[in-house]
Amino acid sequence: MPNILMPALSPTMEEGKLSKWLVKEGDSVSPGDVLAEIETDKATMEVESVDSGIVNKLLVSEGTDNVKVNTPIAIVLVEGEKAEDLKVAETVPEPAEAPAANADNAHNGDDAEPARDCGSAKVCARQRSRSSRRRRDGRDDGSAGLE
Amino acid sequence: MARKAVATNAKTQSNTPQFTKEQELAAYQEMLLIRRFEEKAGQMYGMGLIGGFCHLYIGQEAVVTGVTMASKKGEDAQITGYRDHGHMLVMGLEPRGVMAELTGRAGGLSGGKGGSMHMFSLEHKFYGGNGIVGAQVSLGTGLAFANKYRGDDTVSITYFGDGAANQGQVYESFNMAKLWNLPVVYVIENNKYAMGTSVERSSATTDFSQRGQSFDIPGEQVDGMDVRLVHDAAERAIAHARAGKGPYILEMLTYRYRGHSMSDPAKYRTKDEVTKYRQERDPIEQVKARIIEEKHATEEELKEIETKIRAIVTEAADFATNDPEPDASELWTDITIGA
Repeated sequence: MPNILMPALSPTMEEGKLSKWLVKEGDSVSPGDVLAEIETDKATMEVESVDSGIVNKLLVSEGTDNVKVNTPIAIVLVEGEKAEDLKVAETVPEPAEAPAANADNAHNGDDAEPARDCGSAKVCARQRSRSSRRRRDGRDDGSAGLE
Repeated sequence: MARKAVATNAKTQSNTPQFTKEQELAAYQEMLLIRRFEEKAGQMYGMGLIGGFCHLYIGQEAVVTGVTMASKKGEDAQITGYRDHGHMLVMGLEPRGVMAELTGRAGGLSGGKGGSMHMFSLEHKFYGGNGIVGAQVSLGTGLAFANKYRGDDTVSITYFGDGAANQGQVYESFNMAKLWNLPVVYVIENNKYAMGTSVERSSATTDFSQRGQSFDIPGEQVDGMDVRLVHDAAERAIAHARAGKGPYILEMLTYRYRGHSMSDPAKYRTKDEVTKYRQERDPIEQVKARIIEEKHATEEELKEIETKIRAIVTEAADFATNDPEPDASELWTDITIGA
């Protein structure tokens, strides 16, 4: 079930404003459809859908400031999914304390990589995003002569 | 010059080259894989899984697909700039290896040390993935020199954008390529904007197909949103180069739907312009409509293809999320050629 997460729209972005919803609950969406406009400290950007499905629930209301990156902002149900899945989606475990790592995740990879026992892909992503943001501190896309 | 006339005719649709059923379906699958892969990459960037640079190919899929279909895959060399994920997928590099490189994991094609712009495969004759604007034009010309030197009857296909087309080394390359009649096809992917600067604002002359004129290099302008026209023109250009007649320029008129890079809100163009391309010119929708109309496949069968492609992309994304980062000791490898 695809949760729509607050995206990081630049490597240094940590939070943003959900300035506008361009879909409402019950709308069907296809890949590439614009779901929302997000305002960062630098610009207003669009969030596009990656899946096709029905917008089941908007979790963050329009005009909300300081929405942290990777916070679920909406739920889109793809074909064959039911609204019951919703409950799981709404309770997002806190990253560090998540004790009940999925069985298949707890021992994923080799012992050589002990630092990656985060509970789920989503949590992993968040942890990673934090650490990588620290690493990239100060860098910004689009500014380098490389491009 | 005569070639120019052909291209103009093609645009009137009177002489549009047709695809067989197999070609239509192959093009559909290749382009859809790029589209879905890139959408996923965009999403993963938003989750903080991809660091650094990331330039998506969404909208331009027909260019690399049509050209590659006209080439000898695995024999002819290809090289491009930093908008390179689509080129790698079409050339047969593993989607999971590409995605894992984007996330900087050990299972990435460059061991997680290259990132979006730096992947290569000698096996597939793909030479990158280059971050310096225009540098691939000199390198691609060098690849053609090597092809000719070895006499192996292969061609170098060198892609660059409308921005790179104004770089000095492009014209030094053109000169040598024609001087020695090197087997190189220059594919200019003109997506109308060099980062945020429109072609009109950045270029003294905007018909890039004629940029080889003073070197006597023929060129044609092609509708880069129609994979059949891309393929047709590429066949002509590649045959020219392979026959020892020297370089050839193809200017592909194309469009990228997303910003230049992930943090570009693309405010330098109107929403209408983007919407118009998406709705009226989309390369994938064009093929899909023809497949349905010609009854090459049913809606259901196309849905099956889509499901299959989504599974490939999901698998790639899962791998790229869970594969470990390279070991710290890898810092010291791949710097010089070892024993």
